[in-house]
Amino acid sequence: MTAPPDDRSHWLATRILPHEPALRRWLRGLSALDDSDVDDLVQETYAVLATRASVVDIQDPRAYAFQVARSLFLQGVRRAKIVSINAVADLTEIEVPDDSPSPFDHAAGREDLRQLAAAIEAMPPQTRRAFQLRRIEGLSQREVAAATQLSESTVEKHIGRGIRILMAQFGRGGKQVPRASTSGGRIPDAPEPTETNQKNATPDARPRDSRHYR
Amino acid sequence: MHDRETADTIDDAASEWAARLDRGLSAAEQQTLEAWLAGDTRRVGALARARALWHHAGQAVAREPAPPVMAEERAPLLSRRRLLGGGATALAAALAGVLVVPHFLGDTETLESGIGEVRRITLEDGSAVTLGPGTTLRHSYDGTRRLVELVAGDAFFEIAHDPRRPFIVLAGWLTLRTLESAFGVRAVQGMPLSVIVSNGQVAIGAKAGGAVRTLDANMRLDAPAAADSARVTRLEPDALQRALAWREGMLAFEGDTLASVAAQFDRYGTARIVIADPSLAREPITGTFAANDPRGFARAIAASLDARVTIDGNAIRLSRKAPAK
Repeated sequence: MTAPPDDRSHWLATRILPHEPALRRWLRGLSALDDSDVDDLVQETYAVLATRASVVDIQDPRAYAFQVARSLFLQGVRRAKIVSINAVADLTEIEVPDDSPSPFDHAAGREDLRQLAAAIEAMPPQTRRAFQLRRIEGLSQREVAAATQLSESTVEKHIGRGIRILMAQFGRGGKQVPRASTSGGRIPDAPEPTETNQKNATPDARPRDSRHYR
Repeated sequence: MHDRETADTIDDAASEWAARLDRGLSAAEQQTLEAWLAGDTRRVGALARARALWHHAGQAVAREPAPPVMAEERAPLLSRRRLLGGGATALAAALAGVLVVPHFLGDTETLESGIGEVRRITLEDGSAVTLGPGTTLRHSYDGTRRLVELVAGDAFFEIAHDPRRPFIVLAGWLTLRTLESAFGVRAVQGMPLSVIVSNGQVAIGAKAGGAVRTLDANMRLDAPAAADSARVTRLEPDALQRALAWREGMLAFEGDTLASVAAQFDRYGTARIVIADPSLAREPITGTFAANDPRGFARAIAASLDARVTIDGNAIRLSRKAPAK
């Protein structure tokens, strides 16, 4: 396994990142998802997109990213063994939001750039300086070190810290301080439904026509 | 998931790796990175996201106020479409003529997936194939063509462009030929032979020779037995997604009979869905379900059709409830 190549980073940056805030909002709205679940799903979604051999056949990256996230969410629910009859009935109804026409995309495009600009503004001064010299003025890390009279390893740390701030700020509405570990706080196990409690568990599932499942 | 690494811890490490990648890695660091990435798929995603943010950050500051990015991004897409339009003639020329059935020569390699397994494999030319459950595929490349035979099962191909070597797929009585496209082929016992093109163009003919027909993106060919019974339909995007949902471990249906849906689930595991009642077997099923959870599926269906589900070892039995008087 190797790091994703640069052209994929470009594709992710221009085709997927603009939709990440909306993707997170959507995931957060699904039942039983807390912030750490959303973070996990977003990472897994990027992993799928980054390791796909080719993205040329993805005509609608936004819809595709939502589909991947949805499928990963369903897998997570299965792993957590909470596929009660209710959950199955509800989950099969999860609809990925419709792809929006271009005016919305424009807004989405601005939202992500605004968030990034705000995140860069919020960086500590030295980090922001190193970040801007490297990313905006195009100096190499070595050249940034020379320009700021910092060691190369210090410049690298500032760059890393800058990226970390972007990762924390972007798409999450400004949450910056990394949370404490939440392991163990995942979706709790629920007993599998049995034949006898099924009927009571799904008072609304019966009259529903199977056509409405989607 | 007991001591599961948190997303934040992963992000910490990913940001450090992104900074190191930006200045270039030593061979030793490259190895360490690969080992780190191999430990958890979320790390792969976190690093990809870190690099995308790093990439995008330049744009955020370089242009204030931010112009609509998407408009700019649209341009290459449009020109690419135009290119495809103009190149269609050249492509048609390359695909034209009788599709001569090639023979397997020299080294062939067999790829297989087990019951219930979905595997994605990158081939030596950069093309990728996703195998559905219980699929067998043979492939043999040489300097003039890339040849694959779908012996049995479901396969989705994403073809890397190589103008000098067409990609040829043999399946059932069909020969498919393409230069660059993405398409699925199903050759499953008891189901009609079918081809679904999601991107690009695929030329399809009979192995026995005769007319060649070009299938464009969003088109489906069902070819039950012989050339005169073949049928081409155009698919709406959501129908295309449904038909190819198996790649993500999902099965999606719209109005399919319970009997045919049950047959698809049977390919994914040892559990078998048995439908006791013929009228139940004809019920239309619509929905998206996890392919590896036939019990969950059966329960959902039982609830919506007011049927009874009985699990007996590997058999999942669906039956009508006693008629209410």
